[in-house]
Amino acid sequence: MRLLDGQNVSKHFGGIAALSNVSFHVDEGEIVGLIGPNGAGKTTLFNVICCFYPLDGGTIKFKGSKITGLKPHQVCRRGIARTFQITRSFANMTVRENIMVGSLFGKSRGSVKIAREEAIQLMEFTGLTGKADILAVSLISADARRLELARALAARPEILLLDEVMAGLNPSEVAEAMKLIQRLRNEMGITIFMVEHIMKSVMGISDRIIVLASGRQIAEGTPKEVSENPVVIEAYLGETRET
Amino acid sequence: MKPNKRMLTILIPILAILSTLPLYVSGYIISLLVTILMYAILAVSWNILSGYTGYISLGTAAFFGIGVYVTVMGWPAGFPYPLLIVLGGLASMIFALLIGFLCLRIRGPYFVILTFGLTEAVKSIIEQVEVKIKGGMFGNVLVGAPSMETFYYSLLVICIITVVTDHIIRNSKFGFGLSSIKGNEEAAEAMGVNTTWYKLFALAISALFMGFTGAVMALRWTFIVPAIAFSPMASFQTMIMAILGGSTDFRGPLLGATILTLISEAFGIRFPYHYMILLGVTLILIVKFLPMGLLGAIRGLRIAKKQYGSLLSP
Repeated sequence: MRLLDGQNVSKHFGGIAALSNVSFHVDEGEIVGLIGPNGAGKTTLFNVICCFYPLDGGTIKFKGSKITGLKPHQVCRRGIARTFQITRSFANMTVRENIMVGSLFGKSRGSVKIAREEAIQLMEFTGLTGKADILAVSLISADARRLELARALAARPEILLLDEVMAGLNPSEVAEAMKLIQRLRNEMGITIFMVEHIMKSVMGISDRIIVLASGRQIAEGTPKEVSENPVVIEAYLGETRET
Repeated sequence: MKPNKRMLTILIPILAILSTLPLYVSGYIISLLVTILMYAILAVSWNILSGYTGYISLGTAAFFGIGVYVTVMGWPAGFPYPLLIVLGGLASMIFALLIGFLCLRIRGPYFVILTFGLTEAVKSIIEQVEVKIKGGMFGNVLVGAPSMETFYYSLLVICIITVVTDHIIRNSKFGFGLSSIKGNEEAAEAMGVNTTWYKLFALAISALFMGFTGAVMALRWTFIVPAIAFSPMASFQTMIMAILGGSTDFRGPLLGATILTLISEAFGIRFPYHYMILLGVTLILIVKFLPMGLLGAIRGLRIAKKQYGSLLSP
């Protein structure tokens, strides 16, 4: 089943076309990677899916119904949760309280008591056990990424948009994160749509990859197809050195 | 924090003392307590919006002043005192809902300036209307006001309701939503918080209590001009009190209101201009050295003691 379906999505900022006529889809149960050089429009695509920005053209459907024009909180309540590239935890709240916000306001919308219990489970799942009462502002960066993930999961999403969750992690943490993402899909049945710069990891776990460059979709396919595609290689020239 | 046994053993004696106080203290103390209670309500209700969401408001005087003017208009017309209090709160709340819809889209320093300007605008409008109707600035005199004890008890009841409301909000889903707005408004939206409505409700609730207080204070003062009812000093003092005490829960604003009212009573009347300097310096010092306020600093020390206590003790 098509969980997320975008047709001819366009978004301009002034004279710059951040996205032009991008069509994409994510099926239920898939792990889809979204890659592309810097400035390709990957985060912009996430922002328009979550309705942070209005679309200039095209439509986006979630489970067959249009979500274009909704408010961000309505999108979340339908079952789309996201993490941010630069972590945006609620600095004034503890780790536990941060996660509770997800349970209280997301798709599940439980009581404070239920949210408290769910937070404990999610801290365990993401490796934050023992940090419940620490203020989010004082977390180290790897834990801040874990918290972003835990908070998004607390909203009980059907699809999770991960915006570079592995940025700034060391190799062993990256391996751990990859395992965690696979568990999300395999054990919890959450569909994953992820932006990632670390090629090895995104190629390793994605079922399918969408490649953006300068706001256009230039390729789509299995990791193997995409990595052998000459258009993709060309778009990445000069960028591949660092990855 | 649930109402447990320990809290009750502290609360019941305090309430018993407060409710019987007029029987054994002088009239001066009661009038001082009325001022403390007034600022306590203003500071706790300010905290419901500004403390929790981080939208620092200088609109306190506007919401308070609307309550004052409901009494100014209603008392000579023969409206009963309790009804005026209710109407003052409701008028203020309706006003908050109307302007909040516009103001709460603006964040940070712009919001502060906007709320300040708004208060001044309301003051000027009412001044102009008064001049038009009466042909000059003569002020409003309210005759036949109730006793000081009546003001004391009404404010005490309003204060208790405000504190209980604040406490319920803090531990509810609503409170979590407000805190998340302070933490990061965009992330709050992405997590499903309807930030627009949450901010608006917080503003409306805080305006309700400010309006109640204004309606009472009009009769306490008996002589009212717009410059008194909508005094920007009320907005500044309220904000400084809440920040001085620490805007985490109601205890901070209560503490701040008590301390600053007492200081103002000691210095404000004899040295009004020096007091203004003191107020300004206090604000600078708190922001610089105690960003979490007095209670926040105490809590910080306690946490530090817990973490490093074993290292420090011999």
